[in-house]
Formats: sequence, C-alpha cells, structure tokens
Amino acid sequence: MKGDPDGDLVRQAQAGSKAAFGKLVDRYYEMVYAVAYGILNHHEEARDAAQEALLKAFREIERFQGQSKFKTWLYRITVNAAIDQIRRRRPVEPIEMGGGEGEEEPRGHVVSDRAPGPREQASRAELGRLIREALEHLSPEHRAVLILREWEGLSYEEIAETLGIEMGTVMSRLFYAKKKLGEILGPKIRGEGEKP
Amino acid sequence: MKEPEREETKLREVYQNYLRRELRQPEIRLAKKEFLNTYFPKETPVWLRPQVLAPTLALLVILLIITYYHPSEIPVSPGPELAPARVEVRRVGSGVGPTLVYQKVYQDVPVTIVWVFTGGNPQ
Amino acid sequence: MNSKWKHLLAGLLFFLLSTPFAFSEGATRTLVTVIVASNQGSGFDLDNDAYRDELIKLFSYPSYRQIKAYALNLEKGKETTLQLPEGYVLTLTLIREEGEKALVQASIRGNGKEYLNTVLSILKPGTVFLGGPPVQEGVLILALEAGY
Repeated sequence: MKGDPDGDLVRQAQAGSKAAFGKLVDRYYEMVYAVAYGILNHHEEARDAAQEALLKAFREIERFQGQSKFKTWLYRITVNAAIDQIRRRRPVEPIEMGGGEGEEEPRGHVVSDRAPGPREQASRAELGRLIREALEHLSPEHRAVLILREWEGLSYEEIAETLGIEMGTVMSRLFYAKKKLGEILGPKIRGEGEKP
Repeated sequence: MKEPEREETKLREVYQNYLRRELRQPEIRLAKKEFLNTYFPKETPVWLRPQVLAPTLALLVILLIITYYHPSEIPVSPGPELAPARVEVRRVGSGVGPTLVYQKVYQDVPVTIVWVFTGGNPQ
Repeated sequence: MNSKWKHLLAGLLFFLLSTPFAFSEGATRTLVTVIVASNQGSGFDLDNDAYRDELIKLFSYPSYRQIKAYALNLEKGKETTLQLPEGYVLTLTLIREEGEKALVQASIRGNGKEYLNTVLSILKPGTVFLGGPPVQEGVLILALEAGY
C-alpha cells in the first residue's frame, strides 16, 4: 500500500480495528454517497447503496491486497452496490456492465419508472427537474462514468481501472452521456442559462 | 473556444451545480452520523470505560475516606500513632470481685485504669 | 507534653515543694489523690483542675470530690501506707527502679478484705487510676502519679 494515503488506516482495519475503518468511513462517506446518487439518481436508494458499499468494504477489507489505492477499490465497490440496487429495483431487465470499444448505444438500459420521491418533488428548480429527467435517459453504466469523471474528477485510466473496462469504453460512454444530456438540456441551457 | 466546447463546459457546469445542490442536503450528514454510530461507534477511552472507571472511582472514594475520616473514639488499645503507654500492669488481683485493666486515651496519651467491681456495696 | 500534663506537673511540683519530704536517691516521688466519685449531685471539687477533663473522659460519674492529696517519696523496699475514707488503706511499695521505670506495688484493703492488689511498671512520670472500692457517696478513685 505504498503511496496510499489511507494505507495506515487500512492496515489497522485489516488487523481488526473497527475504529480505524470508522475513520475511513468518516473520510469517504460523502464520496460513496455521491457516486451512488450519481448512478441511482434517488436519495433513499443512494443512502442504502452507500451503506451497503461501506459494509461490504468492511467485510472484505482483509481481501484488499493494495494493488490499487483503497479509494479506487472503494469506488468499484460503490458502483457495484449501486448497480445491484438497480437490479433489485428491476430484476427482469438485464444490466450490461462490460462492452467493447466504440460502443455508442447502450443495450438494455434502464429507464426508471419511478415517480420522483416527495423530497425530489419539493422545491426543485425547473433545470434540476430537467437534469434528473435527462439522467434517467442514461443507463447506470453511463451515469457511472459521468459521475466519476465530471464530479469525482477521475482520469480515463482511473475510471477504466475502477469499472474494469477498457479506456476506450470509458471515453465512448462519456461521449454518449454528454451527448444525451446535451440533447435534452441544450435548449434550456442555450435559452435561459443555468440558475445555481 | 468553439461552440461545442462551450456547450460542453456549460453542460458540465450545469451537471456539477445540480449535484452540488443535491449533495449538500442535511439528510446526508445525518445519514452518515447514524451509520457511523450504528456500525462504527467511537471507542470509549480505556480510562473512561465502566470496567475501569467504576473501580477507580471506588478506590478514590476509599482513599479519601481513609485520608480524611477521623474516628471520634480511639480504641482502648492505643494505635501506633499514640504515645506509648506509660504504665504497664504486671499483676492485678482482688479478693472481692473481678478486676479490669483498661486504657483510655486522654489527649492522645493512653491512661491506665485498674478497676475492681464490687457490686457497689459499701463496706 | 500536652498542656494538661503541664498543668499536672505544675501542680505536682507545688505539692512536692510544700512537703517536708526531701528527695533522696532510690526513691520515686509519687502523688496520690483520693477522689470520691458519685452519682449524686454533679460538680468537681478538686484541687487539681487537670483531673477534671480526665475524669469526665475516663469515668461516667457526674460528681467528683477530692478528699485528700498526698505527696510521697517512695523508697525502695519500703511500704508507705495512706488512710483512705471509710477505713480503706492504700499501701504503696517501690519494688525497684528499672531505669526510667518504677516498679510499684499498690494495694487497697478495707474491712479485712483486699479490694485491689496490683504491680505496676510506671514509666516516670506516669499516671494510673485505681478505682472501685465503694464508699457511702459512691466509689473511690485514686490517681497515682509516680516519678514527678
């Protein structure tokens, strides 16, 4: 775990220190939640997925070999937990995780058939509503690359390592996601501009 | 900057602002706190744990009592802190009744008393 | 030495200086105070005020009356006899001196009986109270102070 800023805490957690893992949770909860929310687009599900991801990381911490940084490992667990949450939501629709280069159109993408929750309904700007609706047009895989790139600031290489896909697939998924969002949000952006 | 690039930059900004708004909700902070308290509660320092604190406090109370408590009555047999008895009764006897030799402390000095019990009847 | 004992010593010195007895080697100066303790009445009638607190502390009688005080010079091997109220007799004998200690035999007799017979090793100066023989008013208490 050379060069890993979380190396000490991870070692302590692997030695059985619950307190050490608690410190890791304290450090990364918001990150885990953000990634889960970016994929699920729903707060309550994001909370459940975040919890599941962190508990899974705790259970499997001894298996973490240190080949990647702990944060990268945690990203992967979180994305998988969010995807699993979607599977629980719609068990019939197959979810594709991998894909070759040049992939543009996702196969079997999930379109949420849930109505926005009461929290989401309350006091959201029009643009916010549009963004959410636009994101619903993306598959979880596309949302994953979007959140990791545009919010977490990971490089293509890091995203590829995290998701276990080729760098080309990362780039194509990202291209597609931005294109889709642009199609939906573009008129709004061009017309009124973003209201923070 | 070219138009598509400008739009992409704008889109990024829109997306990030949206997430910033969504992710600063207080419920997230509460969820984190609840999660930590449930699954990873902070360890009480060793010296504050009941198994250590209770006996430590009990010992402290005992030490305080020993230090500050002064019994009002000192036993007949003087303790080591008193002046040594100045009178030693080598022998005592009586032809009229039981005798008693005892010491009482008067102003930190043990005083010896030799007493004969006669039933109180004057001769 | 606490203040009460200082008072006692002062009282003893007064008695000793006022007596015709001269100090001699192999002798122990001894003060005997004869007190009647009683349950009748209350109060302290004592020459030596130092006894007051002691008696209150040591005994439970409400009234103490000094009958007589003797200043003696006990000599080794010699008996000294004192007449006490109601026919009691106190006999003191200095058995020997053991360094700073005086070995003294004390006996109280009356009406043909030996009320008390004791051998005391007294680290001079030392005090012992002998008591119990009944009198009309109450009981006799003798304060024996040896080595003053």
